[in-house]
Amino acid sequence: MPQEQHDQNVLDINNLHTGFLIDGELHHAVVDVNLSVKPKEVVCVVGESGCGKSVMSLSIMNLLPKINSKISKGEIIFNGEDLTQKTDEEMNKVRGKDISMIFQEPMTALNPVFTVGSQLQEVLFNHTDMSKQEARERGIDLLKQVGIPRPEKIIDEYPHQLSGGMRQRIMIAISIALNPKLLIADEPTTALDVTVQAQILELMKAIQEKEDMAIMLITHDLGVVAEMADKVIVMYAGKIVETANVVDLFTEPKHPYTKSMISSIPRMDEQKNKLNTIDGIVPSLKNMPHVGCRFADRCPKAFDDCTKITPQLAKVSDDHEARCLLYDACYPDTSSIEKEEVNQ
Amino acid sequence: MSQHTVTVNLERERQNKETLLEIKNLKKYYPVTAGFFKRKIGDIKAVDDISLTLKKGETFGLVGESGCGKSTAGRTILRLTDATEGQIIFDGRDITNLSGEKLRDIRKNFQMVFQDPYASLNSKMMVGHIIDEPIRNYTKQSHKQLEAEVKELLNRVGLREEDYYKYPHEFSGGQRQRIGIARALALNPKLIVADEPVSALDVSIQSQVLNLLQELQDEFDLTYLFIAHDLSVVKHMSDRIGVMYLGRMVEVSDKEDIYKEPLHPYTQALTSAIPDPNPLNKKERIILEGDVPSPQNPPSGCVFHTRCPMAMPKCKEVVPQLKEVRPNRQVACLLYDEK
Repeated sequence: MPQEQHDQNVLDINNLHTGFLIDGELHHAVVDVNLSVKPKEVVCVVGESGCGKSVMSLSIMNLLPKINSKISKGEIIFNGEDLTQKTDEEMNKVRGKDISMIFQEPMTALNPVFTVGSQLQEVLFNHTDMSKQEARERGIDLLKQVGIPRPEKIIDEYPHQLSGGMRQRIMIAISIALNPKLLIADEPTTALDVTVQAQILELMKAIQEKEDMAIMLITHDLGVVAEMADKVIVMYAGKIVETANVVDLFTEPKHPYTKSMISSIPRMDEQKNKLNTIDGIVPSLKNMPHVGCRFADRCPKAFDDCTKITPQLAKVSDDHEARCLLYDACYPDTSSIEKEEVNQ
Repeated sequence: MSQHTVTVNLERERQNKETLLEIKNLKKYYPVTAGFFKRKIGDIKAVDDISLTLKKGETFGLVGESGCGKSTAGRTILRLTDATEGQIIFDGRDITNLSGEKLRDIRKNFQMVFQDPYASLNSKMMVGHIIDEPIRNYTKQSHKQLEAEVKELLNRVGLREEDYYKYPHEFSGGQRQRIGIARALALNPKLIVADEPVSALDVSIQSQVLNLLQELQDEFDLTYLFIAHDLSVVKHMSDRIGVMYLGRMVEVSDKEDIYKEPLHPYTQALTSAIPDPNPLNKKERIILEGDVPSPQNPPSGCVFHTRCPMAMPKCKEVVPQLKEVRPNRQVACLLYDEK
């Protein structure tokens, strides 16, 4: 990829493969993921459980356990550097400062035996040489920014004294403490109630606009995607099956999986007698089909080729990519038929 | 026939239907104790004075945020916990204080489908035995009969006959929920309380389970009390919807009305907070401040007044009662009091 494009994008992931060791064999949870995040862009990664969206985000942060998992191929370019090549110590300088992350469970992501303040200040002490007094002031300032009432008092409280929504606000405060360029939010509102979810999403939008950061939002909720995203990446069984801007994705979905998923959610604004369903379930890591489309056995539009030829992600219209043999562009080049080199 | 006459006819049909369940002023308080002698220092008012009526064949949706008492309401109605006050009338019979054999006898008429399909099935029991346990509890049948009956149920909920011999861990979340549904159906109940039956499932699986519940309702003439936090799911499933906040019912209405014209300020905020899966549909959003207060120390007057964008001074003092403000629309809010 040309160098100038790297300069433009906050993050470039090229041909990423991440796998887990199961019974001594490497099984890939993320296969051939290519994506880029531009400055100030909100990219949503959407998919059902087990589609590899969290594994991808943990790969970026290099947080996967080394003992049973491995990034076997590909590169993750951030700031012109390949994160996959970095040691843990080098990554520590990036994590929390340039890239930060919010997790799904605000209950377990915060340490119950430390005060809110000490967890907030930890990130400041690790990356800057602030004095205690400065860090405390910055902490209070951050709590104000995320809309916490009585910040001078809350800073000395413990996580269990706060509600789920407040805890998630604290997580956000910690993650934006050093103005990162990229914020990865892995299902940040799944554990919250709808009215609190609305508060948190609103807050994330406001901060993103003010601080000029890019957000990679991982979610399974298409409603959240429609609210937040500029660009959407749909994953299924470890592979990207469609990428498009948010309006195109909802108005003209190309991949049968995206289409089925959109029509299977109950809607407030219309009454359907019967919801669309997708038969079957996502194949498990061990039972992934080696050749052909991974959605073939559940796809309403599957035909002969789908189980024989592995489709590639290709442009199907302007700024819209899909991985489906219904589109001629997705047939692999005859010269380089990809015979699942990942399962060496 | 015009749209209007159709709705009027439907309305009449519903009113003619028999009442299956009637809840009158149901309260469930959990005592809060302190000190060595477990002195009672207060109550958690999990369910505070709710009333509702379910007609035969109807689905009543109960919606609200976590901690609003919707699950406690469901459990109290099924007599899984005892009510503090109020009456539960099932099929014309007051079951609030039944116990022993009488309670056991009436219990076969109502069943529950639980939220977590991983925790609600005994992992050491064969699926066949999980499903036939309720039947064995109430009838004496030979093994062959039981097995045939269970296999029919398995077929009906979209599983295979071979699954009789498997164990819960061999199934996915959606399939486990089907097992839970088959178990609930085993005794041919009249009422099923489904407490967040799809919140643990992925969207594509969620729609399978919702469709199944609807098919079964038509086939077995079931009445559902459908409890969930997701208003779009509740709206899809229900005929009427009750919105709960902090142990109280704040609005009861037909599903269409609740979406088109929510009356209570809380319902308005709740409907506007749902992320709309249509990026072109940018709507005005009401963002509520703060969190749900603790039910141990609920605000005085209207429990919602601390977060209500339309609160008036008198909301702090007067407890609004659920009143019919329009035909088939009940609201507990002082805004509608004088009209």
